[in-house]
Amino acid sequence: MSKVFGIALGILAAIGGFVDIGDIVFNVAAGATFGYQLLWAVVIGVGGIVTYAEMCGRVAAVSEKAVFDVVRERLGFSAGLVALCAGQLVNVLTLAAEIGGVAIVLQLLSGASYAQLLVLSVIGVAIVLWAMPFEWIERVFGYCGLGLLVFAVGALKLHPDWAAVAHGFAPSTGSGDRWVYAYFVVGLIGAAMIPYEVYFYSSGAVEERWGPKDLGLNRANAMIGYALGGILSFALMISAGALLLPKGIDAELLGTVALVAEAPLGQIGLILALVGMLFAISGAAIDSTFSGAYNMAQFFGWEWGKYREHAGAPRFTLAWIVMLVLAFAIVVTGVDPILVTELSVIFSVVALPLTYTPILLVANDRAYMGNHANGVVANVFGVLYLVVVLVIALAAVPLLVISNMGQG
Amino acid sequence: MWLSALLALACTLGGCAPGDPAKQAEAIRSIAAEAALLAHDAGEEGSSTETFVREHAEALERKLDEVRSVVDDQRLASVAADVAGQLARLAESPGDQRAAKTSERELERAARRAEELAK
Repeated sequence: MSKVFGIALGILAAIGGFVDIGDIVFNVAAGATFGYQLLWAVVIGVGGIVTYAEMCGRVAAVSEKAVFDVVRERLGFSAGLVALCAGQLVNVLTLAAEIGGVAIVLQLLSGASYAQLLVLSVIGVAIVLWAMPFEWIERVFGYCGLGLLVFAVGALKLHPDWAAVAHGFAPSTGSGDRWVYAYFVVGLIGAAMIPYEVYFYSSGAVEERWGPKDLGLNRANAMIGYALGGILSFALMISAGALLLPKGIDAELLGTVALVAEAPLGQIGLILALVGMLFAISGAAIDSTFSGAYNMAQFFGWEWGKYREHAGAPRFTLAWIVMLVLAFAIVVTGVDPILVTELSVIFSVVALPLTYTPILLVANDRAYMGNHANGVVANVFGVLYLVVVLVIALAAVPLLVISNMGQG
Repeated sequence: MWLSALLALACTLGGCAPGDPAKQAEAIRSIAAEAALLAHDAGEEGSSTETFVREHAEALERKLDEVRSVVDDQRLASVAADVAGQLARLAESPGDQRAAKTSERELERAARRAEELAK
């Protein structure tokens, strides 16, 4: 019974921790621009993260190797270094966006100055990283991120056209500006499959000392937790499509996202949305900070892991402190965190094949994985998603330029 | 391609506002419509918080300022000025429900005028 309870808690944390600032920005902007037409792209993105999170969790449980151990082994030092640099650039940009996002949400809650809240956000993240045990970080931020379920209630209260919603789950070329539509397809898939999630997930599996006995837990977390987490993305897009599109409102501010919950549910909806966003975004900031440090440590063979304490893994600790400083240096220039979010998602798409190809190769290697190597179903989905990832990686930067960052 | 991307990036990060008058009108319409929604909630008891109304109105004002800095069309500039005035009122008195209801009507009117100018 306690095992089932543990699995249920893990799934809840995975649901609450699924959405980050990239998902929030792209889903609400897509809903405001195209209504429900792009729901199918979220399904593809969620399928991709479920496929590869399950795979890298399984690799970590069986081989005790996290993603950048595998990248270094499979790609070699030089190509691996390219993957590391690309991954770290995206991690720092993502972290900058998340810290800026946390400061904006705190500003909407408290009215204090943005500059002060930026400093407070960085210090807050650093204290949590330094002092909070790993499983507490995962659970506290995951559970409080469930506040975002208010958008699902809001979506119901906004009475969307359910026939149009159902139609949105069928892939289409969309109406309106084709380049902008394609840009959002890439952004939505990229936001769902952003690489730091698998870096963190696989490193977390090693941190929690998963073994082959935990493969069921891995499958439950990845398949049920992430899949249900996708509901939050659907809710954000459906709410924006029902409320913002008919009024011709673009969604370029985090306050607009909160307004989407406030309009149907009033003050309680507003507060739940802001608190949910605060925990979802700060949880993602913590994940991406750790991911950067995990990647460096795994690639260069340093001691790593939160369970080792700070003195036991000094270079790992220094790496996450440097990540935080770099992200703060970006966001303190006054750059708009929403723009940084869009850029981080689009550049992460370019880096996706460098992360996912080695995972697929190792998950197929029977010398590593023994009986736990990929079966037919995992391989069909793995290869299919690798093709998707390659296509969107090639299209991402041209679409960024042609669509004027989705502005048309 | 990379140079174009970087230029687009620099322009975007620098806050380049749309140059096309129709796009400027669309941007002003969007801000006015969002401000009207914010004012609607500010005018209803228990629908929002004063802090949120003030902070979001100020954020919309900053966004509007970016567009206003490149608007040449006199009619559009006039609409933008009206929207800016209403946003300033909302930010100054976020708890004044009667004023918020007046602002909502003005902002809805401004959104319709901007929509006409975008055609």
